[in-house]
Amino acid sequence: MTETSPTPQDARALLDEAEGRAATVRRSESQLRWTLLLVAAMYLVTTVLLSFNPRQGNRLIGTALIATFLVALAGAIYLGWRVKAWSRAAVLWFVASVAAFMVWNAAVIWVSLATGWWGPNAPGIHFGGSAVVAVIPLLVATWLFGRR
Amino acid sequence: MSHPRHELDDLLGHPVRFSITALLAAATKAEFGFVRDHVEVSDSVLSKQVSALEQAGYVKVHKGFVGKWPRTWLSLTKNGRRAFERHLAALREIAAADEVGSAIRQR
Repeated sequence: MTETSPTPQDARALLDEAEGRAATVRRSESQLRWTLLLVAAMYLVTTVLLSFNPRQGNRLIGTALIATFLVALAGAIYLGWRVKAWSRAAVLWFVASVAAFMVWNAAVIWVSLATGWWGPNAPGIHFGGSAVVAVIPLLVATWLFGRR
Repeated sequence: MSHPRHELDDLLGHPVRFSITALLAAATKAEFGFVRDHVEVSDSVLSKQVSALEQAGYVKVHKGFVGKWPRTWLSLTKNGRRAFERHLAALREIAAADEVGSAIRQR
């Protein structure tokens, strides 16, 4: 039990400080949005590379794909290391965003195959076109994450 | 009706401990260095205040590794979260009492 009381002005200042501290944590965990953007970038680069020769591929494309994955992995580790404070809500938001992307991506692939957009004689650019549509949830989630 | 100051938590009346708790209240976990840098205290001051909060059962200290690097994480316990919420509620009442007083004086 406290005998002395803060003045109303002090109380307001402390409440403001508490709000400011919460905003600091939100800024730290919003680093997770760059990881979502990284996944989207990796997916787009991968599909652009595959678009060059979607049916056969070649050594150069294969090497570029491996390099893309390694750069993305290093980037994800670096971004994860930069998150110094996080809330369960932010992690759930991140996992839900990746899950939404996976479901949407599966739907895009299914529609691409079912409609013949990815048919045997379809140009390679069709592959990239589907990828651009597939990453929409990741881009929206990245934007929403920044606004939290 | 008792004065809202009776609901204030003595432990959280200390400015550094209040800042630490306010930061941890918004997070599930926060790294020791992150708290130190934002509360703007030295390692030893933070350790001392965290120990006091830990002894009161308000804060939990987790030690682990990220790759090869040791990291210490801090989190608020359920008790700590409850105490902080009560403390904030009391502060809100104190701040609101002044607003009511000003409104009455203006009439």
